Amino acid sequence: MFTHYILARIIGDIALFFGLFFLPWWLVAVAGVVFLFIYNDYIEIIILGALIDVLFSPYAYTMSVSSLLYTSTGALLYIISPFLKRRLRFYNQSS
Amino acid sequence: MIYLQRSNNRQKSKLKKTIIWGVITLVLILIVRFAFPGALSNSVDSAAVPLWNADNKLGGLIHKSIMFFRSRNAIIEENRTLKETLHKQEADITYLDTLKKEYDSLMAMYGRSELQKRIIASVLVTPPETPYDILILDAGSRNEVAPGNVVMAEGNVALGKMSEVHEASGKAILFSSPGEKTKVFIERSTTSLSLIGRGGGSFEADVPQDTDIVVGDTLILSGLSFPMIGKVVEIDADVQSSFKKVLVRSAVNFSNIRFVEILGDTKLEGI
Repeated sequence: MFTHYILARIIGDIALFFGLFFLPWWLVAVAGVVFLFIYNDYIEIIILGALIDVLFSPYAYTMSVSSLLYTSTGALLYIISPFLKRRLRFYNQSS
Repeated sequence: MIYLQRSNNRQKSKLKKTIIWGVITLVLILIVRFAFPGALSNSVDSAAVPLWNADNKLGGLIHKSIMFFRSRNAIIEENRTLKETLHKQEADITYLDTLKKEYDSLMAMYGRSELQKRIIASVLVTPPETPYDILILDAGSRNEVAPGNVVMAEGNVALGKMSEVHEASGKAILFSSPGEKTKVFIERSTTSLSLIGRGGGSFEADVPQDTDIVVGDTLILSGLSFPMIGKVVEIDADVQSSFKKVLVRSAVNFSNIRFVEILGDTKLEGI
């Protein structure tokens, strides 16, 4: 069971990574948010945000606020996800 | 009661752990991006370009397969329409060629030359595939592309400027990118105005009520070849305000662009 969980998570991560190159960005972002609720401590959401910024920000070289938009959104979602999970009725509290 | 307290404590420690890990990851990403800005961007770029190229080729293959199964009548009809358009455009091109020769000879008479180094680049990624209003191109510093170079399409339509240049690829920020300011002129009256990008090929500008501007006016960038930016599609004139809002649409549909030209000798700064 545990191995399946880890394996599915790794496959999901790889799919998200390649999805950035082959799919519209918003589809990948939505999938990332879905994974955030499916998996515990889905820290990959921050890395996904950072990748979106590095790949697509027009000024990725600079440290401007706009070039960190999706990194910070990912971090914020990750941090508030436990609060959200506790308040969602459909979410399984035991996981 | 004791059980509830334990459960609460467990949840609190889990929340604390999540926050700590979130902050640590964010700080680590910031450190890496701050310490190695070019290296990170370049390495991601060198991995991404082959994948985007593969995506473009795959897209072309799928398109060809779909075309194969289209009905014969639809293809005949499309062929007829295309032929008509081609005849019309050939006549336009002949006329434009004459004007271009006339223009070049006039420029030569005044000792000015419009000859610019144009670098052709294939478009790897366009909006809405990107969250930011940018184009990712397969031309970079090895093709002598530099940040600030103007990006053109369909002959004389200015799309944006190069914002980031890597060895084999580059990013061009579109003039219509949200918040991007561009100084333009109305072709008919040479009045200048400042366009603000609104995303998706749209712009807007606030101009005084008495400005001579009408729907259909062409807006151009300054420069010898006067590249076109877009056309005025709507004017929202509120009688109580001293300004009117001008809505402009780019002359090019970004999602259909496959190739662009980069003007190697230009360097456009923000205004």
